Amino acid sequence: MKVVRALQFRLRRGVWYELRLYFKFIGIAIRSRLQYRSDFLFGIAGVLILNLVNLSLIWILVARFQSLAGWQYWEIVMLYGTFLLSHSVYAVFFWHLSNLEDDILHGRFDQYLVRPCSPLLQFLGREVNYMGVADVVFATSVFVLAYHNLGLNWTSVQWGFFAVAILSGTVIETCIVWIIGALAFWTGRSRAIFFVYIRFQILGQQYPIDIFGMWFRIFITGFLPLSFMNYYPLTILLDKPNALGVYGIGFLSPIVAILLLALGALIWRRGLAGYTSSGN
Amino acid sequence: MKVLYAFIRTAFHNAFIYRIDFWVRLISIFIMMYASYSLWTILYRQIPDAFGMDLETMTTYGVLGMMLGSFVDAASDVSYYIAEQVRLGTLELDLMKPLDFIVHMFFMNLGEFFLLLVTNGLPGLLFAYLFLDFNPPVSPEAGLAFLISLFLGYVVFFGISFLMGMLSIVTLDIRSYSWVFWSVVQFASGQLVPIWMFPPAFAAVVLALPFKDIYFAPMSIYVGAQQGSLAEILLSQVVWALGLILASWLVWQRVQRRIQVQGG
Repeated sequence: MKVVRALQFRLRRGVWYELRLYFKFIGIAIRSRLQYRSDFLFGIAGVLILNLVNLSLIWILVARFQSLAGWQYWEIVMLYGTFLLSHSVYAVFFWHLSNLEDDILHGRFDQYLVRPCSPLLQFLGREVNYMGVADVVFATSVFVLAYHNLGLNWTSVQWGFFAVAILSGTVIETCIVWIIGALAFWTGRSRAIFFVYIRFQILGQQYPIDIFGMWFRIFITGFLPLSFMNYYPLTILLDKPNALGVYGIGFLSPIVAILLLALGALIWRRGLAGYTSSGN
Repeated sequence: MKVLYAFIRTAFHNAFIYRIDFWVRLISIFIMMYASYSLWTILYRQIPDAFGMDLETMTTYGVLGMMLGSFVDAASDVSYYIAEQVRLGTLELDLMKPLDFIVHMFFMNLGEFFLLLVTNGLPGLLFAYLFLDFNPPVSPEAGLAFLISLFLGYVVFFGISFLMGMLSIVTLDIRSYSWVFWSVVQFASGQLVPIWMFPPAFAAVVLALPFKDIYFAPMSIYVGAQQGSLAEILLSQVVWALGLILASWLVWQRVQRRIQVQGG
């Protein structure tokens, strides 16, 4: 009943109205964030150092062993940078989805239900994450560096595909975190699953999945489709064989993104409809 | 000893309340061990016998690093604990206990260390032994030296972590940058990539820092690839451990005077 009412409501107001509201929320969130300057600088420096450490480790390995499962250093940097580009959009706007559990667990989610506006919209518009800006800067610079060092010269079609892949990657990561967070509607807690997910994310960001065994490759392709964020699209753009040996899997990235979005919406609706507050 | 026992019992008690967390942590550890194993297998298939090691020695090193990390990292919790007490303003409760603060912190953390050793380390060892071609120590003596070195490494880590916690009393919040510090520590401790693979100039810098004594010292002893004699390595660890504990004590004496308890 609640869902039906929410739907009717949304139809009456229209999608544009909701989007305008969302950007208004974001504007407020940015202004409240800008009050903490030193935090901002620390955060930026932290992200830069962390990523430099990761890339130096990979550099040591690849420099000493010439390549990693057929990937050269700059190709791996591109793998890393492409993931980070997708991730950075998620990090700026949707990062707090990973804290969804907290709101549900502590009964804070109620406040979104009593206002005449989509709960998801309110939740998403509540925060922007300044650390994500550092991700954007770092990701763009390493990507440009890798592009030049690999001597690439993509056509506009290839750039178009790349842009689609990046956006699909953002949608994929956002949806996975969203779905994991929404599980808390039933279980009360989902942080634990999120931590396991993070492990896979770190591995998928840093290494071509060729280094892993078959079951791992299938898992990160079919069940937790993280490799559609960077690995599969890049095997096409860099003209490399992929770990499953099936040509053209990378073209499926947008489809995977759309499927995940649909799945996420379904789970979210279900969870919201059955939500009972844990507060008093 | 009675104090230590009490802390260990509390740590175990707390841990069994969160049973899901236990399984999740275990799965995460297995994944990271497997990933490290895969990585070194691929690299050594490309260049067998690189750096005078064989494949199994290297995968043992990689898997060992992940396994040790699952309980030695307990030491980093000291800084988070202190920072949290500072944030909540409950540090005075710890000060009122009839026990020196550093000793208190050390035993509390040691309890957690043993808890994680049993709940993470041992299952990890079993997993490594069954599925990841895990080698035993190169010799019984190396095994014994490894255990001593591992404990000394933990003390070094504790000292670093305690000093980090002290920083939270001065700056009030370390959470915005401490995670970066730990990632640098992980890198410079040789937990992921052994220091003998670092470029020479870089290795020289890393070897002059205490971080190598946390992981690299025990791990290189375990696989029989230590740089220098056993005595030298253990001595370096003892010196760093004592130095850091002394530094912790000195800093604590100074900081203690700065603490102002509000309310009453």
